[in-house]
Amino acid sequence: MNNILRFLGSVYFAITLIALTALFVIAGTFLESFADSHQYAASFTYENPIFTLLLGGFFINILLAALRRWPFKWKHTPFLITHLGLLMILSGVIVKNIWGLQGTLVIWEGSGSHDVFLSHSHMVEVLPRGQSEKKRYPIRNNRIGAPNMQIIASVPHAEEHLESWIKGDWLCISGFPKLRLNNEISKAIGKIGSFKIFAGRAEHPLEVAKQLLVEGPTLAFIQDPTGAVHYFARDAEDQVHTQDKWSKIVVYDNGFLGYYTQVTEPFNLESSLQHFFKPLTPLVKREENKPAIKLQIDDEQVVLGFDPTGEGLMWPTQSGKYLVRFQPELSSIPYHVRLRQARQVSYANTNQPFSYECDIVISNRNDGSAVEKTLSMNHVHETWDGYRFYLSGINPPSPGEVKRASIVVNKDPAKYLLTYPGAVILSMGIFGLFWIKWDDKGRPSLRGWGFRNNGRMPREQ
Amino acid sequence: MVFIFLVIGSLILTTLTAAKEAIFDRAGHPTYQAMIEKGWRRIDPTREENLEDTTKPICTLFLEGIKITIHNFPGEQRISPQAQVARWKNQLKNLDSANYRIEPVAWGGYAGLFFEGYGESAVLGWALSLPPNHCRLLDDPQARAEVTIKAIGTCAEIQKHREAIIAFATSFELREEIPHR
Repeated sequence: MNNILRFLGSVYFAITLIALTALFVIAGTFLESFADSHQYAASFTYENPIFTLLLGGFFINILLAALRRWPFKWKHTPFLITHLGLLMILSGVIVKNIWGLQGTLVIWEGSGSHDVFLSHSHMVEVLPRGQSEKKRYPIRNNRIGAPNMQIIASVPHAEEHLESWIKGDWLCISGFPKLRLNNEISKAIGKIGSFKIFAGRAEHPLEVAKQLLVEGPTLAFIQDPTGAVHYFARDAEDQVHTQDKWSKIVVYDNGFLGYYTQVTEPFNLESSLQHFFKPLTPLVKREENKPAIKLQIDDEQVVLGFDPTGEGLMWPTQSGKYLVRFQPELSSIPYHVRLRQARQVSYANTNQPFSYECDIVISNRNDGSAVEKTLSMNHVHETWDGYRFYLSGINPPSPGEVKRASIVVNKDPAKYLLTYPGAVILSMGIFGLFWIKWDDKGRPSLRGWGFRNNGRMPREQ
Repeated sequence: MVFIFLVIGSLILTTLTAAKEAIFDRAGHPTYQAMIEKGWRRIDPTREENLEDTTKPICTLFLEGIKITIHNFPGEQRISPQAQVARWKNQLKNLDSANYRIEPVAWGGYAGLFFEGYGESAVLGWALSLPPNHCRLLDDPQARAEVTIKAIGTCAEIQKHREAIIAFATSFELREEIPHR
């Protein structure tokens, strides 16, 4: 046992740890430049359990190295101070990893929020019919903490497709029987009143529509290779009406009764909007993967794609009893942030971005006090209690559109208690190690400038 | 010490020169707010005035010879910023293409156009509207309304106070924030 403790506190163990950590750091650098993805590199290195074990190894090594000097003497003071500083810094890292906050506020101009999307997290948000409060169920290790929900399948990356007028090989118009598409788009597949109906798939819908709409009254639904359906109509007065993709979506009962796409010219037609997912090979750049899950809710299954900003449609389930959405976990912070303006600052006389800025009002939710701040790429705002706000990006960058800003929020609860004081104590210890010598009676004195002992480093005390 | 006095002095000066003030909509509610400089003369419509007539401003400000008017248009029929700016362009006499500019702008949830023109007189104008995604989150038709802010004066006066007028206009916003999507 003594030998094990001696090894764990030895310089050999320290060198082994340093060498292994250096290998991790080198691997992290190469992986990040190879994949252009911090998340990909981090999953193999800094977020890997082995890396956490290394940090634990450092903590044990430093602690035992210091305790091995027991019983302590005055001359051990700089050595102990140095090791105390290192232990405080390591403790700060551990505290930050467990109790720290790292997430993103996504805010539109004119709007505000205090709910931070937590990085690398997933949850299902549920809005029960007739209630205004959404329920949040975090997902951990592919398990969801809701009594009536179960994840029965998940894929790391999937592509979402929306279907409306053309579903499979059928033209579906609400209130009318389904019509089967034939192989020749030039042949009408049915009639609504005096209107002949054409439906089919084409690479260039507009070109095909020009051939079909030579005489009216005609309706044409043409699906392009991306799956989107384009609508064209020529009425009895030879007026031509078009609708591109999903230019009009109707929401019934706030979505609880589902979503419809609608055309209003020359008369009202609707088709229910449905979505399905095609699993894809996961991307190396993990930040761009869009996971999808299949949920069993009571006796019904629903497939949900990941909505990274939690702003997309919530989908009805259980015949409109609930609306559900798959999104990152949210954490409320004690500060409410209102976005006044986000803008791209360009180089003079060009559209090349020089910087991005945003004007925000940060209100303390506890005492109501507010401050106005401008964040930019290198200008961070930090509150007295350690919440830091960074501008991460704005979208769209064009000046005439209402913009959405992504503001990274970070809180390190150990920064002022452990990390920064640890760094100061470490510096003091290093100073003491190199510049203060202790005599046998424990009296300190300065070593003076320059090394003695023929230029050799001072011996470990 | 001098630095501290300068900082405190500039803070006091800022507080004294401009303050955030409520601007009332056509229903008499404080729907909007903006930073208005202390020296500007403000005239709000009286309660007796019929504000259903959208040609009447909801707030008028005077700065030397410059008149700044704020209108909102809460009706069902939406007036595009392009149409407003085209109207202002036609109103300015002796305006040639070198003397005006139109730029897209967006802040506070509004998007629209900024017009700056110098003819016989000068105009700085903003025609703003909320995009449909914001409108659907607001119940109050007054809050959903398009807004114009227009400053008219002589060319010299407008150029002299241009920065202050722009600062006022770009501080204009809805008092209550648009609900989170």
